[in-house]
Formats: sequence, C-alpha cells, structure tokens
Amino acid sequence: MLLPRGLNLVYDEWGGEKASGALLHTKFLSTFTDKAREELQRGQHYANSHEYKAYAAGLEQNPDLWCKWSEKYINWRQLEILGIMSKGNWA
Amino acid sequence: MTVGVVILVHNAFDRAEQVIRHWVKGGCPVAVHVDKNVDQKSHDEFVQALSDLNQVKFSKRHACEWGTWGIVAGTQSATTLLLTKFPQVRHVYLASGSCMPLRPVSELVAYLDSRPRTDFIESATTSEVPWTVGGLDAERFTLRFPFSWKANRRMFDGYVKLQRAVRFKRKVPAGLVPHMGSQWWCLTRQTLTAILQDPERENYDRYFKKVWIPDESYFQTLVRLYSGNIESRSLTLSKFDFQGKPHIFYDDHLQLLRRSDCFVARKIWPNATRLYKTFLTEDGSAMKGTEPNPGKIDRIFSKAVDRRTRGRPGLYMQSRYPNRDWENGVTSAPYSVFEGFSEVFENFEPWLAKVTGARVHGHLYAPDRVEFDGRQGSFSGALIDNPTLRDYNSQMFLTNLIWNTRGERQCFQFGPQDSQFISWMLATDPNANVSVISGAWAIKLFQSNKNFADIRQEAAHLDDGRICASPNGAAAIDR
Repeated sequence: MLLPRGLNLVYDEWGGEKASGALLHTKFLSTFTDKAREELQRGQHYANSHEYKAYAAGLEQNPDLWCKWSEKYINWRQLEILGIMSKGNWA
Repeated sequence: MTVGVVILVHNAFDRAEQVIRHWVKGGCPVAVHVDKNVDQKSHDEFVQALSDLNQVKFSKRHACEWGTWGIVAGTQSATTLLLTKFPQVRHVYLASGSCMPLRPVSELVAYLDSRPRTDFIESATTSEVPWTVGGLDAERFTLRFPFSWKANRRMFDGYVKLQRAVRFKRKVPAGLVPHMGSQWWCLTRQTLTAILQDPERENYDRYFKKVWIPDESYFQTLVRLYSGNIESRSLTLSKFDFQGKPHIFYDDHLQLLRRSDCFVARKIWPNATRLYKTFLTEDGSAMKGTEPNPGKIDRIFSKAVDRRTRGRPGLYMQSRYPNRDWENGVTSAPYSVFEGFSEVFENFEPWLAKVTGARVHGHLYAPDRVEFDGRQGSFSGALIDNPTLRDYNSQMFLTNLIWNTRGERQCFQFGPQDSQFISWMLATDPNANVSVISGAWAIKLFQSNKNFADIRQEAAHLDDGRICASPNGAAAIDR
C-alpha cells in the first residue's frame, strides 16, 4: 500500500511539535548482561551471533550507563515533560 | 412538549443506530437524513434495523459533499419531516451520527423546557469572529464556488483567484446580514417554520447554494430574521484542531467529557467502545443538573493546538526541530553570561552562587573542557564535559543545558579565550543576560610570569579573536 508522503516528515520545522514516541531498547535494561551471555551460549543468531559477540565484548568493560543525572522511568507523561517525546496535536 | 432530533448520517451506521435508539428511549422522536452517496444496500439495511421504532422517520436523501449545499438541503428535508410528523416537538436538535449525548436525555429536555423560546445557535458576523482556517470568511458570501474543494482543488483555488482579480462580488439578498457559526444548533419550531415557510425561501436558497460551506451560515444567517431570543452558542461540544478539522474523541477522553457538563459532543470515534458504553447504556448519571461548562475541555484542546503549532520554546527533539529563527524563543529560560568578572574579582563564582542561589558554571566553552559547576564530568541531562562533542553543535549544547535545568537559573563565564561559536546566539537570544567587563582578560596575562613577546602575541590573538567573533560586540554588552 502506498502511504502518504507526509508520514516521512517526522519533525516540525516551524516551531510546533508533532506527535512522537520513544522506544525502550533491551540493550539498556539491567538484565541485558545475562541475556547476552545466554544468547552467546545458545548461538542461535544469524551471522554466527556476530552481534551478540560485540555486545558481550562491550559488556566485559562493564559500561555503566547510570549516572547521577539519570532519571528513574515512571511513565510516558514523564517522558513528555522531559521533552523526549510529544503528544503533538493530541489532547 | 418535547425535543425532536434531526440526525445526519453518512457512515458508521451501527453507532448511529445506537445513538438513535438512545434518543428515542429518552422520549425524543428522530428524523434521519442519510447521505445520498451511501449505497442503496447499506441504506436499506440501516432503515430495516430501525424499522421497529415508529418514532424514527427517514427523509428524502440529498448528496452531501463537505462544504456544499447538500448538507443544508438534507437538514431542511429532515427538519420539515420531523415538524410535520411530530406536532408535539417544540425544540429541534440538529446532530450527526457521530454525535453522542453526554447527559441523560431527560436533562436536556428539562433544560429546554425551562427555556421554551430560546434558540441555541452560534451566529456571529464575519468581522466578529475571524476563526476560519484557510482565509475564506467574508468572501464565502460574495464569491461563487462551482468547483469541488475536495475533488478539484486547483479549479477551486483558481476560480477564487480569478474572481478576486476581476473584483467579482455577488449581491447578498436584501435584508440578510451574513452570519456564521457551528453547524450544530437547537432551534424552536417557531423559528424553524418561519425559515422553512418563508415566501422568500426560494430566493434565499438560490443564493446560499453558491455560498461556500452554507451549513455554517444558512440557518445562522436566517435565524437573525426571525428569532426573538438567540443564545449564540452551540449546545454541542465540538473542537477543531490546528488544521480546522474536528477533533475526534477517543476512550481516553472519557473523564474530560464527563466533566464538561455538555449535553452532546462530537465527533466520537466509532470504535470508542468505552465512550459508547458509558454514555449510552449507563445513561451517564454522573453529571448533575448544571450548566454546560466546556471551559475545562477548551483549555486542554487549545493547549494541544498550541503545542502542535508553537511547541515548547527551547526544546529541540525528534519531533520538534525548528528552522533557524522559527523557534519561538531559542532557549527555554533566561540565563546569565559573565565576561571578565572571574578575572577582576577573586572567587567570583562561589560568591555569585551563594548570593543568588543560581547554578554557576565556569567557562562552559573553555577550549580544553566544559567547566560545569564544581568541574563535574557530567551534568543535568547527562551532558558530558567533552569539548569536541560540545563544539560539534555548540549552540544546541547550550539550548539543551538550559532545557535540562528548567526551574534553575544558569550562569556561566565567557571570554575571548573560549570557543566563540555561540557569540551570535548570545547576542540575539532575548533570554541571554550578558554582563561584560571589557578587557578584563588582560589581567590574567599581566599576572602571568611569561616573556613579554609571548604575552604580546597572545594579547593580540585574544583581542583579535574577540573582535572577529562578535561583529555586533555592542549588542553583547549588558542588556
């Protein structure tokens, strides 16, 4: 199906806000270290688990994404207030 | 005496049926107009589904295209039918298939019973309320519109342009003063019959057939000829978005609609199961016998329009990335820039922080690092002190910093030894409060124990850089 071209214009250039959301990636969850290790053992992913090898290697260095300025996730309204997403035209 | 309802339907027949049954159950006879563009089969099924109710009548069908006469013709037919078939009707409520009663029908009947002579119709002259989107207000009444706006926009626009060019103007029939307003009204039998049985009606109809969007002006204009008591407001709650399209209500608007105390709302999304369940089957007894109060809902919806059109100043993100000079404010809050103060006054930064309670940074744009308050490695919003990252987009570094710290005043030091990319922004941003002690940078050089030739060279460099980087140096000085 052909979709309207406007759907590709995801941000407003005249100062207004369009509706937008946020995607929480599993990479940023605390459980990810164990998950990466497990997946590496299972070896069920494409290209010889290439991607998970890279994750595991990165995790060896124990990257801590949490800092003093991090915020605990509450709900989508919080993300809206922080300016990470927007209701746009929704009321 | 009772209230009759005229309902215009063109889709979502199952929901329309539900609403019609609700009206009838509340004691209101209903006349239905089905758009002629609806295929015969759907129409017949719809009529069949409602055949058990003798309080429901179907009128002659007209083709309804948005902005054209068909909608008025349909309304006329259905209203005439309703008034003829049900002599006990005193007020006629015009609604659509996607309108939903929010309060018990009995409350609406009681409300109208205590105002037996009042016509509720939003009706204002074009100069009083210039609310239209798209630029056609007074011209709706003086130009001709033979081309379809939806199907043939180019011809529509071209013909409007041509008429403007040759200064064409239609004559408004004598005695009429064009008025506009919401399509959804509630009028008395007296007023309606006066309009529908007017000996001049043929003449008026011929004129309005060529008016643009006559459903927002036909009754709104003619009612001014006959009604003795107009309340210029609609009893139907309807909101428009920034493009002039009606806002659609969904399940998550339930509490909002409840609190509005309005009698009827449009448009309701056909799949808003919870709304239909709450307001139609439970007969929303949650509301008390109060006046409609669309104020609360108005605020929320105008906020949505404002957010969509103007946005939050100083916010740059995935769905708001304004072009230069279209930002409605480059930064989100006022901040202070001090130039030369740390050089002239010892311990200026801690003193300033103590006296003002503001957040005082060092040289945020120092060449070797970002000097956050307390020389921390990171700061609010997880900004880090890496100068390369900062200089990659130095203006946005500052706008982000100001956005992330909303509610706390930010101050920072600036000088000729710093990276100068933000000079222009500082000079043009009304939120920037810049204070300068000019030439104070020389003090540090004077105190340093360097060779004279080196000092001279560095001084020349700093002085030079200062002049080049801010062509509008004058504007940068304390305002």
